[in-house]
Amino acid sequence: MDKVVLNRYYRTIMPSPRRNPSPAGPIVAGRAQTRDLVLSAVAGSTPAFHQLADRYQDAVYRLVYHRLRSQMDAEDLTQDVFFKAYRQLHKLKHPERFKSWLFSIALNRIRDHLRREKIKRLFGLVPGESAEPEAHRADPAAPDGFSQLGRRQFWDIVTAIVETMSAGEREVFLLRFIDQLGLAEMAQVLKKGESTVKTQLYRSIAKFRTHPESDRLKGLL
Amino acid sequence: MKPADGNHFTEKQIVAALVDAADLSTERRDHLDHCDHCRQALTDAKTQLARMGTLAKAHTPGPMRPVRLDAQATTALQQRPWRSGLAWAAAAAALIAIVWSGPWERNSLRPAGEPTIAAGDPDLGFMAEVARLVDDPLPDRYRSLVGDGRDQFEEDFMEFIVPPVNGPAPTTSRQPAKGERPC
Repeated sequence: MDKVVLNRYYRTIMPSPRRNPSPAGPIVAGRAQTRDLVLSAVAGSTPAFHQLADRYQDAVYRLVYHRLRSQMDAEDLTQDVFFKAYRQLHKLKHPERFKSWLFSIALNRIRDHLRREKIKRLFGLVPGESAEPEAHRADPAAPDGFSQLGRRQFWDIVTAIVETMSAGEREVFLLRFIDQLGLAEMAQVLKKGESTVKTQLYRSIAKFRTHPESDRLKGLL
Repeated sequence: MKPADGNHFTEKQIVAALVDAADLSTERRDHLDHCDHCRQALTDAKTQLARMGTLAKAHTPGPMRPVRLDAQATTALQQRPWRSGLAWAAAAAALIAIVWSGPWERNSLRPAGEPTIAAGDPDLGFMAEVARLVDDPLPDRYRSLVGDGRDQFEEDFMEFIVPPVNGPAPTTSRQPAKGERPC
């Protein structure tokens, strides 16, 4: 990566005593913090980026899967998200917010994917919405039929509930209770004010609690 | 423990507490601290939502392969600053070419020899143009097309079209017809 660009980047993010860090050396796995890993990855260390990927891959994968319910699409999109993150890493101004930034990329990528799918459906290139989601199909990795039934029921109920919400409400609801993010983190991911997030969250919880399916969900929990 | 006020939490207040308990008024927070009924209702609601997250995690299959950047991707990225610099230079050159080609094209469309209108004094330039058109309404380029200024050509051309009565016969290379004897 260009040395001038890197130096400029470091000047904006590093405290004054450590303005010119040495090129990334071997990273000690357990001790390395996200911030250090990000800085090393920006300096060109691929192993550092792979450690970041190992740390956040599951979270990103789940975030994608919760919205697409397709294991194959979730795999592909997760790879895309990390590759895009690697390309844009030098633009990240706050390395400690790497996770929120990664989630933002993932949400944008999901939106792109859904938009493309919609266009493909319009031209009849893929089956319509009535087609069975992958989450409902038999999964060879699932331990038994009971688990598969439970999974199917669970996602059916969650889908039925969130479908009554607006796009914004649905997003904050999923981020808060399915992806289990905090309010501040959600605001960063969605690039919205915390008060806006709280308003949408309030409406989504109110809809969740009055939805008839939420009683069925209690039975599963 | 019994609360100071007997007003239990409404549904709206429970939802507000689920969003952020810190946003509740001091009075409501005091009530929550002392009212087992309301605290239980809030705990149940929180547990239900938290369990939903846990269940979602349990009902999500794990990724099959770890994310790894291939050598091609990392090499392409390392070459990128140089490439982007070249791309910027090419774009700037193209822009300059487009900007400069505008006036050049306008000048090239003007017929040769045509005086340019004085930019400094529009009235003088305009009058000069009017005077030129009075003397010669057609520009040189078009005059040549109609044969103006090429007298010799015109004479030859007219002789060819209308040959003189007593003059020499037009030179033709007509072949004698069948049975006709040449003189």
